[in-house]
Amino acid sequence: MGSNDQRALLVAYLNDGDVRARDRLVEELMPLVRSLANRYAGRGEPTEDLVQVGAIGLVKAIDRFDLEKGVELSTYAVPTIVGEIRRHFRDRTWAVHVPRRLKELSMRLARSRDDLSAELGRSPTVAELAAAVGVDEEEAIDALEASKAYAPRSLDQPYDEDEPGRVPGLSDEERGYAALERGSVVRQGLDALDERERRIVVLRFLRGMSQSEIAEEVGISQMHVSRLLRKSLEAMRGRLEEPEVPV
Amino acid sequence: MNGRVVLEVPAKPEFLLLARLAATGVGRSAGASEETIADLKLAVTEAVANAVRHAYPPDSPGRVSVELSADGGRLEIAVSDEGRGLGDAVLLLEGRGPCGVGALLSGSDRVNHRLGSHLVDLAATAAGDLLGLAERLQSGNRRLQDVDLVR
Amino acid sequence: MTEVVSITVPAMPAWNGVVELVLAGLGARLDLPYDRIDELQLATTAVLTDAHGPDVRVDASASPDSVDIRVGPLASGARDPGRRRVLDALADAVELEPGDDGTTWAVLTFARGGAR
Repeated sequence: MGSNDQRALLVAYLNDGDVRARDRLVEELMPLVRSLANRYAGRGEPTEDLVQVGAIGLVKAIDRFDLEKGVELSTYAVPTIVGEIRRHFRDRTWAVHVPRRLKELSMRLARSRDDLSAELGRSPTVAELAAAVGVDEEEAIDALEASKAYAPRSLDQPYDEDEPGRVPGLSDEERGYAALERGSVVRQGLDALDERERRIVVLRFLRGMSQSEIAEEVGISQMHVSRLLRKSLEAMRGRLEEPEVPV
Repeated sequence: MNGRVVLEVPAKPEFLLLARLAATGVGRSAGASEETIADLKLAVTEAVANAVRHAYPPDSPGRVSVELSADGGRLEIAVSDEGRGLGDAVLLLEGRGPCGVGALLSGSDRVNHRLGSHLVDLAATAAGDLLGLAERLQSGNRRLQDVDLVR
Repeated sequence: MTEVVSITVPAMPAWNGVVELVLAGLGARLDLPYDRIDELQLATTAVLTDAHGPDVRVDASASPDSVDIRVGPLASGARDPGRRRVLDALADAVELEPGDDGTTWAVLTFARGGAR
């Protein structure tokens, strides 16, 4: 199926609500889902579960697709598919190892973190977070860490050259990836952001979290995350295009 | 997951938090239940607090080493210092609570070790493990004059 | 005298959580903003993946101006340039020191005084 046909199906689904068009798109991109799921195989989760979870990610990506942007669906969908698979691991790890109490505490801490950041004009300390939520520092640290769920966090993941479906430099986010690979220029770019924007950028590009995962962690809506990301990338791009200042 | 973690910190009370956090981490990485993790933290607290209190003269603090090992259903803690040879070890068996091995300072001081409210009678079933532990404590510069099974 | 906290763990991702918890405890004692702690954790665990042997050690110490994290022994030789650039974005200084038997130790320095 050529990209024009895909486009036609997207229009049929997104503009006209043609569900069969969506199903056709899902069918068309299942090989992509399978190949991404296979990369996470052998980590204690049945591959078929990962494929199903990945398919959910694909459907989400299709639902969210913006027809105005000149992006291929496969490129656009990769982070969402991968995000769903990784969140599946995170949820499974929680189910096995971490009690509900900690999960709830970590969500409360995530909201406090955002509120306090706005109030203090900087990221809160552990003492401040613990006091805001009414627990001791040790519990706060445990819950804050549990939200990272002991799933392998690797800076390598967003930089995997072999990731299928990655066509370089198409979307804002892809350009953001490229920008982040440019060393000290990155730091200049990050300096253009405020504290919360920097955190969202780090979560998105260094930890590879999806926008909805970030939204949950930060305690704001996914649309808000999307807006902040776009704004941040523009600010970073603006800073990066200035004549290079020695760092 | 099996593995061994060693934490070395100054023998001061403010570093107890780090020992407890290391214990939490080991428990989670080893896939221990929340109850076992709680026991592990309790045991580490006792052992490290003991080292902080007794291992060094107050005017010359030293360092304390906390070794946490996970091996199958067993989690083991060994605390030692570089000073007067306090070797304190605790053995936890998954689902059974902690069992303490009272270790003695060289010299005439005697430290009996009771862990929280978990007094476990493991004499019959765990004797083999504890004897092995006692043997290990006896090697090196950790002198073990007596082994008290906490009942 | 600078006090050093050392933690030695198996060089496998499943044990990163132990290092992260201890670093968080250290950061809490130093009243570091949590974002700074996150950066410290991220940078340190990134370096851990380059470990040389079955175990890897993290030595953390603090001065009034900075938090210094030493990680090793690491496999020397080609270091992933992409990761190095990301580390440069997170830490204020990244240095490599030779260790025994041709291994390497990484020294990461994080200035104190709030998130950048």
